[in-house]
Amino acid sequence: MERAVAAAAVLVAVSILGLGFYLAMESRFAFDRKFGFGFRVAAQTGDTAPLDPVGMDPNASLLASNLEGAEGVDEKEDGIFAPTLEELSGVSGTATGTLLVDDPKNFKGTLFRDDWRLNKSAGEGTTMLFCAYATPEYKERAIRIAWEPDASFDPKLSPHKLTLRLVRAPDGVTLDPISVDLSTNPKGEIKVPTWIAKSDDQRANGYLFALEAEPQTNNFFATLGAFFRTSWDPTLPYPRFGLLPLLLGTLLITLIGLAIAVPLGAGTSVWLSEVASPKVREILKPVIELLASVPTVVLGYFGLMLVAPAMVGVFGSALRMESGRNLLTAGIMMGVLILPTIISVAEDALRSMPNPLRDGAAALGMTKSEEISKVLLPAARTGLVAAIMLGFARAIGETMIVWILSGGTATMPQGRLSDIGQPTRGIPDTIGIEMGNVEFEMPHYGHLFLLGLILFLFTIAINMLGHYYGRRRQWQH
Amino acid sequence: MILEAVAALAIGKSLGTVSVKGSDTLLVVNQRWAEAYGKTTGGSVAVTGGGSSIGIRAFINGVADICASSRPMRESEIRSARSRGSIANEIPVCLDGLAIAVNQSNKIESLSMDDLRRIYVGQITNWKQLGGPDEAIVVFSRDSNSGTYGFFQLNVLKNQNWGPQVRFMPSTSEEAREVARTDGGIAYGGVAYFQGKKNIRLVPISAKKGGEAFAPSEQNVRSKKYPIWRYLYYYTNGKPSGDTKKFIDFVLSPAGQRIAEEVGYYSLK
Amino acid sequence: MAALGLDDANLLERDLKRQRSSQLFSVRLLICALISIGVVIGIIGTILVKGVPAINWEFLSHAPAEGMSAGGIWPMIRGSILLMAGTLLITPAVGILGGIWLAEYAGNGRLPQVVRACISTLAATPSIIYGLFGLAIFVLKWKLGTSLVAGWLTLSLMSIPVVMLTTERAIRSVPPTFLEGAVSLGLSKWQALRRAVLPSAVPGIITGLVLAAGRAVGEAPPILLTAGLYFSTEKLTLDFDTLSKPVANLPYHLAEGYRQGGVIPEKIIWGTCLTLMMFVLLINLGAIIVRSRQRAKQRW
Repeated sequence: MERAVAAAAVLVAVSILGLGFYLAMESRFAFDRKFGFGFRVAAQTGDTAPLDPVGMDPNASLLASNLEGAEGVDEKEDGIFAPTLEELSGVSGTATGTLLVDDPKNFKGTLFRDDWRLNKSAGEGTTMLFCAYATPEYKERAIRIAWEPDASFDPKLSPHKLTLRLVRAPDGVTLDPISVDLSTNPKGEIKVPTWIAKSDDQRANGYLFALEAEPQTNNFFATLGAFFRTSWDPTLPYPRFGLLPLLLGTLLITLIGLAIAVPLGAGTSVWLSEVASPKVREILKPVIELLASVPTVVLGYFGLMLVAPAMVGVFGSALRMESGRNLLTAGIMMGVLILPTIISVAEDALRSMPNPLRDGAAALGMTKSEEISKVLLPAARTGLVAAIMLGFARAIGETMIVWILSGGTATMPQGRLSDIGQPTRGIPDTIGIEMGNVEFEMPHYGHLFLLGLILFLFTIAINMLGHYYGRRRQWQH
Repeated sequence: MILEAVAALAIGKSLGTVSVKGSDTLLVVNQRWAEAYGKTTGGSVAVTGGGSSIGIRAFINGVADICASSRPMRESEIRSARSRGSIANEIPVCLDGLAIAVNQSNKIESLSMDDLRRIYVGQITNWKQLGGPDEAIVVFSRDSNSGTYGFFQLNVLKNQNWGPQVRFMPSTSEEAREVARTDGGIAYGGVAYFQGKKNIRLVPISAKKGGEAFAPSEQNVRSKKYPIWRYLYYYTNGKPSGDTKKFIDFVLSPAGQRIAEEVGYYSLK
Repeated sequence: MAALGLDDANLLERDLKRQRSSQLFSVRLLICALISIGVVIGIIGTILVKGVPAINWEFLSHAPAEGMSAGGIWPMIRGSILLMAGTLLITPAVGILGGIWLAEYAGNGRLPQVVRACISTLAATPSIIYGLFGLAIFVLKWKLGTSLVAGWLTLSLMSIPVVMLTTERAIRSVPPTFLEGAVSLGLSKWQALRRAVLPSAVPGIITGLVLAAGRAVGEAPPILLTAGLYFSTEKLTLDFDTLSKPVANLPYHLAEGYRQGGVIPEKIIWGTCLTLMMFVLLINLGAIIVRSRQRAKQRW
């Protein structure tokens, strides 16, 4: 039997290791993520005309619009070949294309695309080539090469160093070297003298530009770096996995909850322990503890159906609330959630203070309030801190209240008071909401586990603090 | 070892019950189908939500008879299913069309898909820019909890970022309420949420600027003339058979499709 | 009569001030207490008032009908009971034995201290983390799928650390003389534990077990990722197959009902909220009564 006891202990130790281990293991998928980059590039009609909006429109490209209009490009995007001059005849523009090969000699028959878009890991570099020429009908003196980042792509966030470089000017054109840093100039244009391709074979002899993506770091650090950013938008084609808005959401909701529950809980526990008669205490304490066993999803619904509408009624115009589901409402219900925990633990701490302490204070002629604030509270300090930290630990991992009441929008707070009336989102509810809709064992899945790991680390840190603050206590609810 | 035995046991599927797993978008209509199917035929159907990916994963692992998904299965998922012996068979079960709603006082005749995109990414901020009155546009969207959010972002925004002024609402009924009381408001959602509501008008949408605009009526969505729509899918392992087939037949039957319409989708035809 | 000296007057005034501030302090404490109690009674009372009209025998004994807008919630109640039962079945094996180890065998060395710290960390770990773990291990790695078994394992895992800590506390609250006496009578340590210590600690252990399981069953996040079922027209039977199927249960019903936004009418939601709350509260109440009964019988 003793063996069984030891086995149970081993099992528990294993499961502790296992929990942390698996959170870390599953987060490894986060580091499989790719850091794509994408630019729409168009060679446009030169000096005179204004910048062609169609050519820069994500719905279309000059190439595509010249040929067949905006429609039908998306489906065939991978299959567009360089248009022949015959196909382009009657079109007064220029034509361009991207080659997904490194060797410009393979120009013929190569797939053409209207954008530079590749998914690469951060440690991998690449070069894409881009050819520009004008059709024989072209009258302008210059060709304009304009570029802008792909929808949702922010070059500043790219771990690659992205450069647009003129590799080769056509014969007979002399130009200074051109090299543009795309992280600082994500959108812009340059002009080059007109060069006309007189035959299909000549097309490849035009201007040749290269988009060079140079790795600056490896994928691990790039993923980690991107994780500590300010935008969480994992479903974009260039996904953003920034933890900070979620972390701030969780912390702010927790802080509001504590700001409500700590003073209220402290006052109540002092009253229960020092003022109320034993009989009253015997009845009221269990009643308050009853609240701790109300499932959090029920508290969430309570907030949704009663508190949220009331919040809009009271603060709606003052805080410019669109809906009752926001930081403040979530924080208030979080306060309600941790109130009984704080009262219960703090009251225990105060009750455990020996009576001579109280008698001594009375003998010194202290009033009740002086006795409490000058003697008892300082003496019970560790217990009170433990109560607060217990509340903190409880609030930071709470899922359902935040899920139901936060409004579900991951935005960075602007640092204004009206932020508390805005919808937000926390870490645990993000895990709960998104886990069902991710492709398993892919980067998004990995990032959700990374969020879980962060939450777990917080729990460990709070517990360590709790242990540091002296007496071991029961960290259960 | 015990756990492995339990695991082995758990993989075995139960007989007689059709299990439907997946998409939260489809959950409501799945439930109604299951209930009506149970009532008319006595067959039993178990419906689980959790999200399209949970459904697809269950399908790949062979633990669900039907995977409900609001998106087509990805190539990688189909391959992964095939490597485990499941052949993905795609069955569209209903049509989901999103209506665009504005306030009754708004006289705008139609919007193109591009106008919509520009409104939602924040390039157009005043109705004046679209030939309407000088009135700021108040843009409402569903929040990211919902499947329509992703659908709208992909198909209308072409995956661009939402504009800074977009207000995210937790439910389509709240969107409808806001649009009804905001003169410059615009919102999207299932047509059932807007139709017949006071102070709300549905705007006809054209695929291309200057093209013919269509209202989100049943015929227009079904004939794909109305541009904002998608299929919702069931996936089965190969051609459905037995109870699974019976259930899917019911879903595709006029009675089943009528239920889809009651929930706010469009029937297939 | 001598006039009061200035100092005395000051002193008196200060005394009065102190008295007054003391009274004010008491009033403030009372206000805090009243608000706290008001919050508790307000919430529980509101849920009672709003929920009771929905509750009748049909509500508790029938399945949902007409697109979740009518009928009852029996499948969800049954599912929660099943989840609870399984958790109570699995948790003690590890939880109680582990607690005994902590209390009697671990000692106070460095390693046991670390283990203890780990366990109290696990006891405070958010339930969504257990959900994640359950999803990764039980649902995906072991291929249990979303099923009752996966739910049991996840909820048990979540309860075990709490049960260990309460078991340890229960055993430690038995006076050490019990063990010493038994050992001095020639019993081995394990025999002594079983004969002399455990019987006295059992009520505390069971209370801790039931409280932990009850709390786990009220949590939505772990179930969401491992065992939830929205609706089924299947006949509710209990056999081996049940293990491999997901089960409808109360917290999942509420969570999914929220996600679907307005499908389930308010009245049913309040009724479900009340049922879930009473489910957990009654378990707690039962455990508390058992404990106080046993306390009354205690011989030391």
